[in-house]
Amino acid sequence: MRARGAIPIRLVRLLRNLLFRRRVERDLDDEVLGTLALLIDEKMRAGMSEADATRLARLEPGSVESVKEAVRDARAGAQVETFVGDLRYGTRLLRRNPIFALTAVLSLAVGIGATTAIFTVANGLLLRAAVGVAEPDRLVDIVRTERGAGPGVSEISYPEYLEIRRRTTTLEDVFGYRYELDPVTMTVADQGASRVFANTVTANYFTVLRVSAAAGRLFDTGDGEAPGSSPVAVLSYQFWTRRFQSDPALIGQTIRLNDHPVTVVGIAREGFRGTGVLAADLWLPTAMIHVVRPEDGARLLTAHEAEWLMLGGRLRPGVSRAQASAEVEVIGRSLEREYPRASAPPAPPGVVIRERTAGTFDWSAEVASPIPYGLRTLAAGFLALLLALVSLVLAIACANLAGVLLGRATERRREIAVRVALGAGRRRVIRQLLTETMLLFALGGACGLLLARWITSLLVLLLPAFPLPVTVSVPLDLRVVGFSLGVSLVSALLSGLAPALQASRADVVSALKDESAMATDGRWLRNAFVAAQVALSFLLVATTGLLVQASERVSRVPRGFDSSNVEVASVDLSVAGYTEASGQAFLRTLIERVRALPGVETATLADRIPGPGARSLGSLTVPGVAPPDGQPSFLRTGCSWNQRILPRSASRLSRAATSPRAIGQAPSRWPLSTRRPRSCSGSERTPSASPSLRGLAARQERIGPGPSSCRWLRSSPT
Amino acid sequence: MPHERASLLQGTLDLLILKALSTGERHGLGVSRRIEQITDGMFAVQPGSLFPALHRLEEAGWLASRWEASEHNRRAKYYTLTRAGRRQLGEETAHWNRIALAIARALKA
Repeated sequence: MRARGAIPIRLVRLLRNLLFRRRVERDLDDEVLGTLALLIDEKMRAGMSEADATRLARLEPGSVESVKEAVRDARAGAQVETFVGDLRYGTRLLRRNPIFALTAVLSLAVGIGATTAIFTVANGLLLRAAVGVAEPDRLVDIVRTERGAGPGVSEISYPEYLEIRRRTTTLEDVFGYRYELDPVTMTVADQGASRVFANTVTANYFTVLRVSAAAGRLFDTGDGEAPGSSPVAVLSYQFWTRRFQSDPALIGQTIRLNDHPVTVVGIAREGFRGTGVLAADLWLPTAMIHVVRPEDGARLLTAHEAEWLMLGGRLRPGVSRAQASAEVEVIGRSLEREYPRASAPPAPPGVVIRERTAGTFDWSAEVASPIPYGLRTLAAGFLALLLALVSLVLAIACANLAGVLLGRATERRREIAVRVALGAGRRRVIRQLLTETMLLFALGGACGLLLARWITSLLVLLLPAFPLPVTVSVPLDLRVVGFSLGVSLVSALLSGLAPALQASRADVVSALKDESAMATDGRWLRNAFVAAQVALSFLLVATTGLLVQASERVSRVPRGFDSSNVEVASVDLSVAGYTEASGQAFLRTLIERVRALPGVETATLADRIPGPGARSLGSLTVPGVAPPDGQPSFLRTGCSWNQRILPRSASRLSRAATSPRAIGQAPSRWPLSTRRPRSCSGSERTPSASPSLRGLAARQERIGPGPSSCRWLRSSPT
Repeated sequence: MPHERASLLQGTLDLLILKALSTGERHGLGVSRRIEQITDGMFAVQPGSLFPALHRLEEAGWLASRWEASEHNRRAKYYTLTRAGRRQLGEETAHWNRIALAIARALKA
């Protein structure tokens, strides 16, 4: 029945009512009082005395205030006004009771802050593309997953990348990058050598991601894709600042990477550290893959079997991820048909090959995020567990606050009874109490958001020292703010509703007359909140205890060797320019000298430290079997035992504090640290089959620029 | 003293106000008196219902108002029907007549 043109008029009125409140109120006052005067006039004209007329006139319309109140309720924006009024009243109450307000807000801040912090990490790792790219929502990850395979990273070959890029119509462009970083020896004129981590990316990487340059230029179409044709590199902003003190003169200079001359053409914008979780120091175009992979670089650019790229793409405007995914699936299927995989050679007797990449694959386009698609379920599961745990903290805070609010409602039943006696409906009372609770939670949520910032940066700081630089950027975006707002509102409703309902049930007469009437009424509810709080706290303590125990048990799992009193250090001799031959000689001397140290029982060298997670992903040659194309087959192996392990024992190296330093500072080289294993015999693959070992392995971490220096790290289980 | 002799049927208040204003500009009390007059004293609208309704109708765009000095040098708010209000009055009258007819028929049956 309402006229259609009414909406803009009502909107204008709403704004007027809210913005010019004072004037609107004065008009209302004039109107009601004016009517009253008219009424008095009318009665006096009928022959009444002024006093009688005034008395009757005042009686007739009910109180002036109640008329005004009725008008206010009918006015546009009445809800907003009520809300603001409730909010003002709530603020006043909180200010009158600062201790309660402070404890409530703080306990909520801890709960909301912890939940938000975990969500921020999940958001940064799983739900959004890397930081520093433009229009991240239009980026997708192109993934190939093996059907039935467990969690893992599945890569795609360079020829397949070119094909997908050529055939796609739903994606603006497709880029590729290596999931792992490669350690490279960087030599800058007269400054000595240092180890840096390079990431090989396709020449269009920065263009598709729309990353801007902080200085110079990034890779562009001018950088050729033919092997060796574009000897250029782009540095990360952080590396440029840390290693070169943001020297603008570096751009255009030629540096040497693994002895190949490469020109630094530019610096990527601040904040961009690559598309994965590993933070690259510099990027090289795929055409320069031979710099990081001298042994098989050329093959990586041509062989369909050499899978080493992670792919991503940018959706064309108006194209959905599902459409792109359908197309990627079709392209992937036809690629599988056109380039069938050579079947793996039969295993020689005595060798059991557990995994081989010859299954069926699914192709799809997934939401772009730093964690590779194959590992997301794992990461999500872990984060969900953490989120559940911190939600318990929030639930405890809520139960606690609900109990306190209930107590306060009992104290305030006189006030509530007065409100009800003055004509406030039950809904109105509940609404007011809920608004007060919301205010408390909004404050808690705001503090929680600030706390979450701090907790996330603390989490990032507490990350264990990985052998590779890891980047975890956990930006605070709209989704995170929305999450903490939602969490605050829902928990406010959950913990505020019961006390509000209880309080609004106040029996006016008994509440005004008798002090203790309702105190018994809400008691069971309050007890329930206390019980819930205790139960949740117990659950939290128990779960945490179990988790701690579980992680302890994991570290105590027998590894087939005695890890007590073992110290680990690592060296990279390639940085100091050793060759394979001179490196071997150096290592022999090194190990002999370490063994001669007082307090060292024995020492040994290893390519990789045995332990959980020490799997190598690389080439495997089986002695006596020639690979079909003359190249090692790319198999994922459980091979972590291609090291030369000397089954003698050493111990108490840690106490010989000065001696390890002597080793570390010595120039060093060779395949101790992150180099890929070259060969592995099948029988050595399971750690449990290995003889008992106590010894020393070496591991190195670079600190700052300049000649190589070492920091000694304790191995984790000691 | 006129009292509320019959409770206003829901929705009829708006119609009565629109009707009372169809003959010209009035202030709040004038609207109230006019309603009493045209309903033969059947309805007396209390200010507690009248003023909220006037404000609501004004916000809906059916009434316009202006301030004018009344007899005793007081400001008084005078309401008039807008064009939309007149249309609304027509619609509501037709609607009400249909209902009244239907009820009358139902009661005769």
